[in-house]
Amino acid sequence: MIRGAWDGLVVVLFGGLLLATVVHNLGLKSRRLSLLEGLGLVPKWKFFAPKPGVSNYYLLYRDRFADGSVTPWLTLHGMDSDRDAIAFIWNPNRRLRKALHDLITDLPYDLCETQPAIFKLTTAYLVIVKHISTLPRTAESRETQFLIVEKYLDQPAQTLFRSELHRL
Amino acid sequence: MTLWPITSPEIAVSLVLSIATIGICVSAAEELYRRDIFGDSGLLSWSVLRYSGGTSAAAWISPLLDRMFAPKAFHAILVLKLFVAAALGLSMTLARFAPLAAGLLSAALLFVLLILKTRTSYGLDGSDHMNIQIFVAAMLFFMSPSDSTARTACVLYIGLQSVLSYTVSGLAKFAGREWRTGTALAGIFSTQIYGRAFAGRFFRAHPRFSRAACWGIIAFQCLFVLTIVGDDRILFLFLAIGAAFHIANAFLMGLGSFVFSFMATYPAVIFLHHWLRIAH
Repeated sequence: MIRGAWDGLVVVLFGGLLLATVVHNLGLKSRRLSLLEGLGLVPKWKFFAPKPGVSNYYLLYRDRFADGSVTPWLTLHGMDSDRDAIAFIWNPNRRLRKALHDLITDLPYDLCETQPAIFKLTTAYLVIVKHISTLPRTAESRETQFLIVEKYLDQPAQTLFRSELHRL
Repeated sequence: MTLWPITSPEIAVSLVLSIATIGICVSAAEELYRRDIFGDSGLLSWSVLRYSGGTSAAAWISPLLDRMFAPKAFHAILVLKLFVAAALGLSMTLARFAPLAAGLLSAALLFVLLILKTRTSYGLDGSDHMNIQIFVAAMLFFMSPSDSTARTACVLYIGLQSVLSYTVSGLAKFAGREWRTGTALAGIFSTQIYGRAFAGRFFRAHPRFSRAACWGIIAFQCLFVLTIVGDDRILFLFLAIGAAFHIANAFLMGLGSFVFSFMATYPAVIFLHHWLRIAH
């Protein structure tokens, strides 16, 4: 009796998760699906589709000193460098580079003109500002600023967003 | 008669976990090597992520999360991930495990994987999501009695999620203009995060080959469902293509973690194939 109930429970659970996965991947939305997705129980399986990412994104930053001079733009965490040759099996920068990519593509750029206050309160913006503010730098730095650039193949780079100067 | 004797849920799940835990060990070692990412000044510092909408927690659980995601405690969790995965993988490979111990190790590993997801989705990928599916099923598998329907359902779930992942991905690619016209691979391989300069140049220089490769991937992924309804030769043909696909992606795109998490599901796909034949 108990065994039968357990069997039924497990079958219903997995049937429900499979159904939820199908529904989630069809693009239907609900609070329960969002909760399950947030917990990692309902995956999204649309890898690089329907629109694959074909641009390079770079996050650069620079500091301003007390005398008003600024440093050159520096690319964060070597985003402009290629992966190591052994990255197929040992890729310790995998999470870092994916997280940077996720943060850059997660920013709601359409809000930066219309609702800049909300834009600056998004998690992605705050994560970037906090991280750049805590990077090692000279004591003379007073403010920092970041820049997000998109580059497609050999075409000129396009600025997606340039932040204001943030006090250090 | 199957070409590979994965005819019991026990054999299937031990093979699934033997492969999946290798990938998790590598992943945990990589995370420990770059544990600065999760430190106070790291990109994924909890000091900001704790306020994010997706992980804003109820007042009662917030202090617990703060303790768990503090740098030292989180490093300990990553060490736990490494050792639990190694212990579980070894016990599965050597076929020396007690269901209770294997269940506890699977539950511990699932806990760590969910903790990573709870902390933030930034930086996670499809291999993490497949691992969660695998360990939800593994934990329930070891909690279930031997020869039970529940055990069979756990392995079938892994197999069906695997088939679903390829099918959904294939259909989504079919819906994409870049995939249908054959420019997708040239574009992806031209990026620094997922590409290789030589591969990008090659695909841009050979648009016909690029288009054929795009359609080949679409066809392979859309038709992956044939692994469960076709005969043994179809099954092993698709699994061999799948293995080659993931190994190529590891070299060209740096997606080494997918090799383990997705190929780990193949014993479950073989079991699903076998189970459907028995059922009919």
